[in-house]
Amino acid sequence: MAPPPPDHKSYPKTTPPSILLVILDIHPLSWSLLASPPPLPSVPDQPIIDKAQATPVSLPDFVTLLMVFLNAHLASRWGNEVVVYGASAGRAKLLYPPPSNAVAGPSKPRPNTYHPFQLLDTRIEGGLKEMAKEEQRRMENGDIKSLNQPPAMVSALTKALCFVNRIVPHTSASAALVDPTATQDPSAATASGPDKPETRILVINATPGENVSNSFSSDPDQTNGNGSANGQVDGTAPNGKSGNGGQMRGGYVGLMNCVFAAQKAKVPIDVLSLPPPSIDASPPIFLQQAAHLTEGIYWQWNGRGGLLQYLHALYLPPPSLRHHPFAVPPQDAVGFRAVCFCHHKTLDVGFVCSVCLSIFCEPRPVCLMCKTRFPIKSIPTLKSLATYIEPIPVPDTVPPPPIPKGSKAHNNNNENNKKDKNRGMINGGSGRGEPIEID
Amino acid sequence: MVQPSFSHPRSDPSSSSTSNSPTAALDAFLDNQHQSYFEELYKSEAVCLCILRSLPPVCRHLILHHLWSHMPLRTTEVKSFLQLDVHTQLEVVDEIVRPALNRKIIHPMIHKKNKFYWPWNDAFKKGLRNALTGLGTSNSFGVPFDRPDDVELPSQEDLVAYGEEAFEGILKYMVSSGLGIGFSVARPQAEVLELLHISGLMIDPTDTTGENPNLNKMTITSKGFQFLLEDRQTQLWEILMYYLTAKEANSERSAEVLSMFFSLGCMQLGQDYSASKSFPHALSALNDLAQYGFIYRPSPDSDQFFPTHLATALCSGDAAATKGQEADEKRFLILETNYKIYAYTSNELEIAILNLFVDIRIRYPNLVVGKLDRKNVKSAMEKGISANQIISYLSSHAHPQMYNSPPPLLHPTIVDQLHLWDRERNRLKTEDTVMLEFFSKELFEDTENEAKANAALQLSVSTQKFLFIEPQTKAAITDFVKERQNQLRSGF
Repeated sequence: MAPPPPDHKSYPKTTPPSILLVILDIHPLSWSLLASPPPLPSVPDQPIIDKAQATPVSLPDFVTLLMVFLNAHLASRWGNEVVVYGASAGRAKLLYPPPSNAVAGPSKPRPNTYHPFQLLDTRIEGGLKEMAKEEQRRMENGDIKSLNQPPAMVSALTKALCFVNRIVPHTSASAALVDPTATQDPSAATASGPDKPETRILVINATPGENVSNSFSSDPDQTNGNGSANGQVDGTAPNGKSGNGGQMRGGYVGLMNCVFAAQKAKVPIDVLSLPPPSIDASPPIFLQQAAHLTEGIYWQWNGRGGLLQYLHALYLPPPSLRHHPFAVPPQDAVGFRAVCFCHHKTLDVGFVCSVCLSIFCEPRPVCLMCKTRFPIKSIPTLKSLATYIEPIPVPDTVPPPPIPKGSKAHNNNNENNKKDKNRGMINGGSGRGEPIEID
Repeated sequence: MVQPSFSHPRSDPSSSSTSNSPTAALDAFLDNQHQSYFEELYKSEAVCLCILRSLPPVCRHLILHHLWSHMPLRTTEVKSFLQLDVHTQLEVVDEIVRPALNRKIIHPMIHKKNKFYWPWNDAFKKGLRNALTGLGTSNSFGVPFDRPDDVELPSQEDLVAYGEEAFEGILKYMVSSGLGIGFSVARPQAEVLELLHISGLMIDPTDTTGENPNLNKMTITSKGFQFLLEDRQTQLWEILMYYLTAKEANSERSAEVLSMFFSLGCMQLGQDYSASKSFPHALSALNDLAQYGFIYRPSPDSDQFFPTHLATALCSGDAAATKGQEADEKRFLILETNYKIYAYTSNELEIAILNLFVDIRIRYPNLVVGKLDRKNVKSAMEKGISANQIISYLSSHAHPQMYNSPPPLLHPTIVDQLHLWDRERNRLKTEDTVMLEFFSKELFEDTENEAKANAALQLSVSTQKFLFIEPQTKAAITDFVKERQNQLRSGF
């Protein structure tokens, strides 16, 4: 990104209306972890940060903050809209706006609340309560197994992308009929036709990264059939071996497909990861990848309060104002690890089918996906080569540099990433090392 | 496509500034207010919300970015958020937050302990925070009317129709007064006419002093014609601002009335509110607004009132975005390069407005066909309508089909021709003058210098020794000439 000119006259005079799609993780187990966080490690060299204690955050508290944030989004421009999805264990649901055939909203407007705010708040509250009731019913029906599934991010993302597609059709044919000037001449479009709304997705993740990673991996047995998987139920810990095969097997591929769809549609996926480092040492790398690939903002809460300010400061500016003129927060280094298609394990070193680019954790004579045969002789060679790979560690976090440099660093990352993809490689080492070419 | 220079309304800054934003009248009004006025306004959460939305996007997000911080707005933070160099001039940053400074959202920059910052206006900060959280106590979003549930309420369509009828009635009355076209128009109420007179949109031509107009015999002025061509939201804000200025002229407090306008703009169409609880201090102003169709009252003395779409759309940045079907109704004009205009409308008012500058040839129930010609356009310009206004009217009402041809929307031939007709009119102008004829060259030159020095000279023709001077300076100049004549004579 070239440093923007300092001339403030180049700042946009208007922005298109913006639609914010929020995916809220309401997995009960994750929130119970967040409600009683372990004490934070002290940071002696930064006394101001050290003073802030670990803040427990419960779902009702957070939803209150989220509503204020959503109100601020509605307040920032006429025509802004909000869509909220709830992602609970294994299922996702649209919370707001209610379906058009639903009954009318609250009877009386409150004298001190802007009516759209009130509609939004009461309906989200109602939707959440309804969803909680359904979960309760599921538990009473003894369906404990499904409650241990990880939150259905993929399902929610898919729904959100469908929603985006419905509002902003990608085939510009219909749009062109209405207003062809929108693409050709932006200045004329603002003067004449209605603006094309811009969309973004905000994923609020409450589930520790360990678990999200696990959610995409499952026991090797499960690949052979669901029968054996169903026997494995771990009711104690949220990060146990989760889920039955059917849904989880598509998890990683599904998420990545969503990410690529969002990338193509130019819909940034912002990610707010709530579990602080004390709960969750490893960040949810696939959500981080999603934010990175779609040019969204990824940020992990440090567990020290201030969530309302963070929401406003990081996630409020619409995409048209990000990068120019507003700065985006420096992004952490992204782990480009992938999940193998055969056992759903998160990989540091993988083997890629040269025909269909499927990823496997071990060399295979026949690709499981496209059935391409590889010379059996090459397998030992590949295996021995793989042991030579030495990961080159990169720091966990890009240290926050002065702003212009920061954007450059971000760029470099991007370029690396593109190269990686082009050559069909997976990062080696602890997910942050030198890429290896496997073919 | 090369755009000729006169297509840019540079020469006419006043008209261009009004056509920029529908709230231009409001902005102009607010720019002239003092700190205390804003303090009064920001007591209402609805005002804070609407003022925030009227800021340019960058400024707006700066405010929201720092809203929940307990620190003042520091220049260093603003610079780094805007990716500006640390050494950027303070004036540059000040210019970026200028709109917020003008609205007194933040106070002017302060330098303390090596830090430059803008302190918040606490009233605004509190108001906006309360607007977002719904914790305010000023009832600024309107107290619903307490009524039994089974009462029949007017539907949204009824309210839109009512508001439309009331406001278009006023506009129709203005048009018909100027053209003498016979559509049967109910005369607006006396207060409305008085405001139209005070604002200069209509005058009584028989009343020379301008003080005792006969309200029944007023005709539209050129300012009134310009007003007609504006889009609806601009008209509404202009009317409201005329109303407010009239109130101020009577030395009444206008802050409460203005804050009521914003509250109305935040209300919900189709909901009924209680007048006495919502606006205890602005009841009479609310009654006045009913005459313009902003609110609907089931019975004149009831406490219950319904805001119409005129009121609820007041604060929505652009009315077109919020009201889809209404915007479609407004896009009915097809303009061909041969100056023919096809207008798919049956709205009397729109036809009357078109009639101002279009030669209407054919009229079908839903279609009007006419032609832009020199005679009609020039007669419109005679009435004070400028070419830019006609052009902006044509482009804002352009049919969606017009967008299918490559931009620009209106063909440059027509735009240029309209400007040329405008120029044609401006090329000659008449002025009163007094002609002096001299026989002595010396006297002529002295008088010429004297007139020049007093800015009284209009034209001098030295070959024939003619001087043309401003009529009001005639006495002074003749005195000078006589004196000079005496001096010159005594010299011989």
